[in-house]
Amino acid sequence: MIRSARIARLGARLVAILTLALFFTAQDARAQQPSGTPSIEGVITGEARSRVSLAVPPALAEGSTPTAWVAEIGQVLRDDLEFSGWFGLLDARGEGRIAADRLQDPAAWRDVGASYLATVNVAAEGTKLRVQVRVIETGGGTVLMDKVWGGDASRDLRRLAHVASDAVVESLTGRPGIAQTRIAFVSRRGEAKEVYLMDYDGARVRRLTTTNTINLAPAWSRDARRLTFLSFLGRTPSIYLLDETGKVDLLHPAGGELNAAPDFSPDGGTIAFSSDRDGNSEIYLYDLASRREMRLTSHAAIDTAPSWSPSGREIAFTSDRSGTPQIWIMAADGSNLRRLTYEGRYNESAAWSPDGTRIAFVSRIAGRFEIVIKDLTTGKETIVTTGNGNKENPRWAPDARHLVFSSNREGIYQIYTMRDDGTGLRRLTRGDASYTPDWSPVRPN
Amino acid sequence: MSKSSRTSRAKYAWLLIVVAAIIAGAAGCPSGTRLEPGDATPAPEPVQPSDRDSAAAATATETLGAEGFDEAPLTGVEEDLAAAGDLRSMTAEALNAQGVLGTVYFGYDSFAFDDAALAVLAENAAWLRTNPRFDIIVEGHCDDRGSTEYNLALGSKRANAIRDHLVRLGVDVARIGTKSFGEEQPAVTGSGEDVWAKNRRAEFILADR
Repeated sequence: MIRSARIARLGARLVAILTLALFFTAQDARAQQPSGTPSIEGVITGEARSRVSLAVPPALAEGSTPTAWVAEIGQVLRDDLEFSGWFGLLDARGEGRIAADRLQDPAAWRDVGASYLATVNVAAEGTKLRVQVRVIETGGGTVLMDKVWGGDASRDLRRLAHVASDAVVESLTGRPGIAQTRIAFVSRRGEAKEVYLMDYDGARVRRLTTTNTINLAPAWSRDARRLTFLSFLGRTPSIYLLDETGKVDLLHPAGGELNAAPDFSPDGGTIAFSSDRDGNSEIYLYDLASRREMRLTSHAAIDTAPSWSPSGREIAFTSDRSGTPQIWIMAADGSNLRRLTYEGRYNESAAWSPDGTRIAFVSRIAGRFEIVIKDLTTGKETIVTTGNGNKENPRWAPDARHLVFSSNREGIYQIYTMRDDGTGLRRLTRGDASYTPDWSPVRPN
Repeated sequence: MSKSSRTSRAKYAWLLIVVAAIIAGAAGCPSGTRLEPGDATPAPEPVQPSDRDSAAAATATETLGAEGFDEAPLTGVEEDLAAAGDLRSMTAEALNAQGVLGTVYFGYDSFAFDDAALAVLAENAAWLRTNPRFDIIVEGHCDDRGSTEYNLALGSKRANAIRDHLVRLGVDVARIGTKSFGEEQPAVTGSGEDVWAKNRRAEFILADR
């Protein structure tokens, strides 16, 4: 009985995913994509993106659960789903076409064009919360997902919404949601810059370092449990590791007055960084287990800012060996070196997309720094930012559909996110100037 | 710009004095005697020419074939001695606060030295050679355009280029440390070429041995 119910659920979920795939395929065909067989892979990185119509009626409070808690969970969940970009969210009350007592009824939503319905129930006992989320296919009423999470209202309201949102995304797309991801960055405090962390939506900002000195460019490990960053804490700028328990390690490379720009390899075992130990900024690998190092570049010009490809086989970096800073790519052993960018005289700060298909970088265009995305298959470059000020330090969200960056477009530098076509701009920070964001990977369970 | 034109004016004044001295020497010698290099007749002691007027005065004096007997007041000399006296007991920190070593400025995305930079480097190297009890940290800085990482590397390039040049000018490499701050510590905040030019620099920080 249980088993057959599960099979039915799996079947329905498969149908949901296939429906999405077909939907996208149709969109692809309409957009006349040049590639052969369109697949969901092609859609995710393609230009024609479609949305699945999803209804999320107001969350229901059970018993005497405070309405403020219920409203917050419902709103955050809705914002998460909206941000994910997968869904066309219908008005929460069906634009007045659905009676209040039918807002949890799949058939009612089917009649106003929703393909799926996500219902949210919140129950409280004191501050102990219980959040139940169901995803229902409106056509046949099949329940695709029915999950419950627990937490404490004093600290977990937003987290509960995020975890539920990610489950909804996964149940309907087969892909992990990013609502539980976080963004590390540095923010100015007096003369210092300290490392901070916030949720991907800018909420729950917390400070990670108190060094009263300059810290820069935090970068996540792929398991999202460690950060590496540069600090001026010691005599010379050095690379530090900080894990989620608060343990700090100083990396001990062989020498140099400047060891900078650390980036974790996808397997988490190696850190690529730049060092001037040989008289000039070159790129090296540091193996965390053996503490062995390997020099990858050898040129009198500046080589810095390494960014691993998601496969771990290649590294993009900045080099001015051609006379001006440009993006170059090499194999992770330093071989097969080649220049990636030719447009413009100043291209730098490469970030390899998590799906491996594109590299985002910063280009100086008409005196301003803009973010450009280069498609590695077609070679096409797209300028995705416009408007006032500089846009710097692009880093990808793990869904490969969003980016975070810093910009002084409104005066002082703040952290922003946007979709990878430049739309959906959101400012996440306010107050003190903030820089060098990095978006965490999805944390494996 | 104005600094380099002042420099060339000073050079010009020097040239006039030297030429005048040669003429004076030739006039004072028996006819047919040639001034050889290394001749005992010295060029005038390098009385620091302060401006064009002193050169003009020197020329006028030569034209008249007369020698003055008045000596220029010894302005500044006592102060220098006093400073040198203090120097023996001054800490690196106090000297840094006084700014005894000049700052070197760079062009955009460059670590090359222009004439002004070379002049500052020559002065700083001379000071370091005559004051061997101090070590030096060369700090490389950039303007705030460009990425954090690239600017750190560029600041390092600037500091290392200066270290190498100081070594060529006779400063012991063991005394020189380098440190890049990238764009993190601007001398001046704001934007625009005036601000950026002041921030693309290398500073010399003395350290007690």
